[in-house]
Amino acid sequence: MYKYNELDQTLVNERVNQFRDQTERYFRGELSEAQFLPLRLQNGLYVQRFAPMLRVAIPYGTLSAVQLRKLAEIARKYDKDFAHFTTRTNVQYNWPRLEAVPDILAALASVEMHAIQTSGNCIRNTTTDALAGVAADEIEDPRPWCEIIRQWSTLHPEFAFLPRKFKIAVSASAQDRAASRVHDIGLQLRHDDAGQTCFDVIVGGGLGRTPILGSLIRQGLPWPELLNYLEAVLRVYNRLGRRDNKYKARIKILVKETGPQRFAEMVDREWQHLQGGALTLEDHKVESMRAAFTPPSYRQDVPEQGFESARSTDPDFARWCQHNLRPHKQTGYRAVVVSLKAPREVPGDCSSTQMDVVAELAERYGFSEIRVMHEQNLVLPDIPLDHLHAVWLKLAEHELATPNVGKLTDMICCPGLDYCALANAGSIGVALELNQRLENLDDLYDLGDLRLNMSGCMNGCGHHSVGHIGILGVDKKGEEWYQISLGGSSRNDASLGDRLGAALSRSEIVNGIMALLKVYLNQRHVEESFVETYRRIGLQPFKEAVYV
Amino acid sequence: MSEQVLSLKAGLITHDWLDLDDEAPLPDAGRSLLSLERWLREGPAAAPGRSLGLKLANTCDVESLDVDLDACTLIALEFPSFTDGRAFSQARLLRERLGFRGEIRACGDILSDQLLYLARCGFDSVAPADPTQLGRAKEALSEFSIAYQPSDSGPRLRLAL
Repeated sequence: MYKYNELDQTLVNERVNQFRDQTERYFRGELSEAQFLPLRLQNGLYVQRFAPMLRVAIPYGTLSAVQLRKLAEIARKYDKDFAHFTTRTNVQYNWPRLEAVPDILAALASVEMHAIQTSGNCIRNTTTDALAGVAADEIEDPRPWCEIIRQWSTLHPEFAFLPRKFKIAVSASAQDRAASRVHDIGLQLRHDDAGQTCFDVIVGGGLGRTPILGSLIRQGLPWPELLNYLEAVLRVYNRLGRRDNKYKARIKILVKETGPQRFAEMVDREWQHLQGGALTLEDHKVESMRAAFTPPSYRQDVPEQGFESARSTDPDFARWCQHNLRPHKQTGYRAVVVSLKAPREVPGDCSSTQMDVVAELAERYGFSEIRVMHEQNLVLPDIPLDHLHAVWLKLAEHELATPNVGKLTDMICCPGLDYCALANAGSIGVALELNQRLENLDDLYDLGDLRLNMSGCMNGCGHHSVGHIGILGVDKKGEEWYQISLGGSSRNDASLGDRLGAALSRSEIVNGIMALLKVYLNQRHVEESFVETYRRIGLQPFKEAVYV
Repeated sequence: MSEQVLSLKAGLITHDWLDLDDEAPLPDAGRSLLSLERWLREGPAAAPGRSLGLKLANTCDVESLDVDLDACTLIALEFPSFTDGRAFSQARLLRERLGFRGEIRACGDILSDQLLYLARCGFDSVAPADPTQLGRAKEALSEFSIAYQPSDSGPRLRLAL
């Protein structure tokens, strides 16, 4: 993975000092609440329902074992012994003291980490496929490009005060696992006819209160022009994005109101001036970035025998292998999905001990690397077959081996009313109750691949609009209600869910979901997934079952 | 504009521009700042040989300005709120694309924490509504020694990208 050079490290250290000074000026009254707010947000610091919340950047979801241990140490020392992994592949601390934040940032800087631009109206953490570099269907490793974008977007002098937040995702495989059509910019990497890397640029997608799928505005952008073109998009947005209403300030509204074609022309006009300019990428720059992500020295002789016999003798291990492993480019290796969705745990939460366990496994068996998935699980990307059983045993010992990846209980869920100041409704309680109802694994597996996403408010941090089943928490006269939508997806078949009908109360919601599942089980064709059945039979049968 | 102005190269200077009301008569001497409307109506021809500045709203599309920029000694760009970053783009366009060589000044609601960004986008001077923001200008301008974005303006930082 990418290692900081002296310049990267100096910049992050300088940022820690800057934030320490800003915090001190705030405590001395030299910065007002209103002035400190955007400054602290640009360093990932919110003031939440009960305490500040600090969001730490995990660039494109890649972590080293040393970094994960540091995250565990910070949770132990400054928080309540756990942290929460988010749908933006970042990590959040829910209970730090404001006074301690500069020290936490210094601790992060010591392992090449930071909280720069994890919030605020600026360019946020660039995300990609959690299986980058190992996925069997990958066209090219997207991480060198992500790191180039990370650097360009870090403390960019022109784009620190945008109309609203701005999120970039890069997908570089046949199957889009980066949700590139629901980002402000989605870059889809491919190789052109001459074998050269190029990008299809999708702009104006997003979730939140106005979910929209992005529009393709540039096909086959040549790689040397990547940053010039991004700069052109950002400049058009900075100048013309709406600032009169924060709910209409995302680039998706500008693209929608302007029309994708006209918007593309405006970007092209700007890009014409920037083409070939100072941000043009050169071969040696990209090559040195690629060199930072060369594959580790894989063993060529991994025996399969032990793995096969363990699978045939241990049904629990076999079940975990079936659901929690992902194919790997390298023969003899698998990517292991570490489920953070144990039945009685908050989705995405991870204790300090669990973080240490994952770090230790990465060090012992997996070239010291860990990934964060936007589905709020972790990945050990490089585990050889002959160590899978040992890895499984250790994970299982720490409730990290729930064999439910991609299934209903592997749900995406925001912290909801339990932590977030914006939420209308609790999401965690609903998640826990659903888990109890689906405790029997055979029932769970019978439901097949099913993405259930839940957000506690319409800001949509839980990506409810792209869940096969989406649940949105709404407030009705001070009570928690839940709006269901069906048929969403953030993958190649990207689509936004359709609203089922009136919201359900807290006491009705779990029964409502169970009724939906029953309709699927009764009506499905052989081998048909929930979302496929839904697309075939439509909303009506589900509606009738829920609103009897 | 406030009395105190920070030159991003030379430190604190005294404000010597008269921010002229659209209806007020043009004084016989001194430096005057005109709105775009007045500039287009009267133009530099109304005051030959005098230093004139142009005030631009942050919604102005600087590329389609029908103004002889060579006749302009200073362009003042507005920050109605420090969180409204449109003028950062305007400054870069004036400097890098339109080749404006006069002074670019930032006016309005500006925090000391933004000084380095302003300098790197091509601003030469800053006249904040709250002059206390200039108290820590020197520290603010030296908070970073590294940048990932190339820029010909502002302090010379080591380029990391």
